[in-house]
Amino acid sequence: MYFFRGGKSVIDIYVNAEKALANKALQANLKKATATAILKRNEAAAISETFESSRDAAIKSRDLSIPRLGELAVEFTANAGKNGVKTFVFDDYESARAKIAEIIKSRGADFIVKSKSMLTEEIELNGYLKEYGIEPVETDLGEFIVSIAGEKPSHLTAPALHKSRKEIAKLFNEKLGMPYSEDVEELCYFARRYLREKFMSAKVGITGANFAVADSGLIAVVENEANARLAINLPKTHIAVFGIEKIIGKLTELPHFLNVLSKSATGQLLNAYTSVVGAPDENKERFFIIVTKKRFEIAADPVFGEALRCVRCGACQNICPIFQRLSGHGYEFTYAGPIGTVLAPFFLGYRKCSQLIDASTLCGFCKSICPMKINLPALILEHRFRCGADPAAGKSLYRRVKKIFSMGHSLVMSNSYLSTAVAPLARLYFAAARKIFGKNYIPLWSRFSKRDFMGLSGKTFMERYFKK
Amino acid sequence: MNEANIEKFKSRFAYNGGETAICENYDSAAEYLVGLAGRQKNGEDGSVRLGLDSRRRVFLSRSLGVGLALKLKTALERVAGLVLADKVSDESDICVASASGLLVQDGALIVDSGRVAHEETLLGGTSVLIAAEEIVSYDNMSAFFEASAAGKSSVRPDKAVIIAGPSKTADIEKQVVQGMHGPRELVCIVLRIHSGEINKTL
Repeated sequence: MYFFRGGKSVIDIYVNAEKALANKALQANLKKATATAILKRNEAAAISETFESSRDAAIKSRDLSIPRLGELAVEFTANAGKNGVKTFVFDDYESARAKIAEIIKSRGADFIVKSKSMLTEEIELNGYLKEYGIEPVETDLGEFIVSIAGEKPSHLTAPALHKSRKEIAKLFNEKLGMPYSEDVEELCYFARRYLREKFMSAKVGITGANFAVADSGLIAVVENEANARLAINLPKTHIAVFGIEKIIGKLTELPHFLNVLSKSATGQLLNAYTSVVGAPDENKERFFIIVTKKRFEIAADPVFGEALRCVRCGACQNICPIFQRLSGHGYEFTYAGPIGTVLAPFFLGYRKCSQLIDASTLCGFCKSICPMKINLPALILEHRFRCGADPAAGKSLYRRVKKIFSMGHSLVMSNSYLSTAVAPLARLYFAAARKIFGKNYIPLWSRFSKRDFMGLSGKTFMERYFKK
Repeated sequence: MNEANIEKFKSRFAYNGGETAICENYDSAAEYLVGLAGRQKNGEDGSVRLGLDSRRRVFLSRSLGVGLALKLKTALERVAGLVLADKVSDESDICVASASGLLVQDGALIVDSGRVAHEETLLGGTSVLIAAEEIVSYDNMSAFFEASAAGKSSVRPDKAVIIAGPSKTADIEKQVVQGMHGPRELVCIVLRIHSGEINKTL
C-alpha cells in the first residue's frame, strides 16, 4: 500500500491530513490561532491610513526588482562593503552553510544565538552546525520550543502554533528542568532567563533579514520579542542570512514593505522593533550571507516570477482552509500554506509534490489577503497543468488515477443522456459499497483518500423536476 | 507638535501596547518616573529581573543631555528606596533614554542608536523614552525614511531603531505576554519644555 502511494518520494498529503485531523489539540490550536491572526490583521489594516497605498507601492517596487535581482545584489554587496560589512553570495546550501560554520569556528565560538530565520531553516543550518560541534541556540520563543522538541516550525510567524501550553509545560519540565507549570507567563519568563545567559556570553549572533536595500547596503529586521536586536547587537560578530529575493531597490521603498508586513503578519500597526542594520559598531563585525538557490529560475519564469513578491507574512496560511486543518508540518517543506505549495515544486520537483499541489481548494482567499496580491490560486493551478505534463510526475499512480477519474467525470457530466443513465447505476453501486465497506468506497481513489464520498441523491434533478 | 498629532500618537501608541505621559515640567516627569518605579513588578515575582534586590533602580541615559538628566536626577534622588544606577543592566527597573522622532500614524518612536546604546532600550523592566517638545514628528515611516535618506533628519537611516511597543510574544496559544526578551513596559514621556529652556534653568 505504501509503495502504491508513492513511498518516501512523494509528500503524502492524504496521510498527513489524516494525522492532523485526528489530533484534536492541534485542530483547536490551529483554529484559535488562525482566526485570531485574521481578525487582528483586518483590524490593523482598517486603522491604517496607508495600508492600501503601501501595498500598491510595495508591489510596484517588487515587480521592478524581481527581474533585476542579480544587478541589485551587486549594488547591495558594493554598498554593504562601503559600510564595512562583508557579503557572500552562494547558489547552493552547502557552500552557504560551510561559510557560516567557518566564520563561527574562526571566532572560537562553540554556540551561537539565533533569531528566527526561514532561510536558515531552508538551508538546514542547525543540523549542519551541530555536526560541526557548534550548538545553535534558537531564541525566538516559538523556535526555541520547537528546537528543544526536536521539531520544525509549523508557521512562518508562529513556529510553535501546533503546540499547546500543556505540551510546552511538559517539554520545559522534562528537557530544561523547569518546575511543571501551565502558566503561559511563567513559561515565557523561564525561557527569557534561560536564554538571557546565552545572549550575554555569545560570541556570534545569527539573524535573518526581512528586507535588504540595494542603494544603501542596509538590511531591515522586524520582530516583537527583541531577541533579534539582542542577537544583532550583543555578540561581537553578527551574521545575517537571507535569500536574494529580499533585496529591494531603494531605501525610500522600505517603509511600504514594513507597513504591509506588520499588519499582514501579526496584525500590528508596526512591529515592536524595526532595526535598520548597516555598519557594525566599533570592535564588532558583520557578515551578510545571501542565498540565490532557485530564485533566479523562479524570477525568470513568466508565470511564477510574481511568487518572489512574497514578504513571508503568513497571511495566506492563516486564511487557507487547508492550512487551518493540516498545519505547517503537513506540507513537509520549509514554507507551508499556499505560498509553500507554489514554491515547493521548484525546490523538490513535481514528482515529490504531485499531491501537495492538490492541497488547495482554489477558493481565492489567499489571493485576496496577500499584501502583495500574488495570484496564488492561479499559480497552484499552473503547477497542476505543468505537473500533468511532467514526465516523472505525470506517470505516477496518483496522477494516473486522478486523470482517469477526471476524464470519466468529465465524460459523464458533459453528456446529459449519459449522466442520466449512469446515475441509477452509481446509486446501486454506492448502496452495495456501503453494505460491504461501510462507506462510499471508490476503487483506486480510496487508496489515497479515506474521505467518505457523499452518497448520490435518491432521485436525479430531472426526475424530481418532471415529478413536480 | 500640535495637539491633534499628540492625541493621535497617544492612541496609536496605546494600540501598540505603549503608554504615553504628557509632562509639563521635569518635576512632573520625575514624579511620573517615581510612580512607574512603584507600580512595576520586576523583582517582586523574580520573573523578569535577573538580579534580585528590593530597591528600585533607575538608569538615566547620557542621550538625555546634561540638563534634563540633572533635573531628573535631582528629583529622583529625593525618593527613598530608589537607586540611580550608573550603568544599564538587567537589574535596572527603569531605563530612561531619549527618542529622536515620533511616527504619528504608526504610533512609534524613532531611537537613534548612534546616541542611545542598544542596551538602554533592551535591558531592564521598563523602557522610558523621553520626547522633548521640539522633537520631530513624522506622519509615518515613509516621511521619516524620505527625510533620512535625503539627509534632512538628525537620525541616519542605518542608526534608526523604530520602537512601537514593549517586547512581547504570543507564541504560546496566542496569549500575549509582555517582556519576552526586552522591557515589559514601554513608556513615552512627552516633555513640553524646550531643551533650550532646560539648559537655561541650570
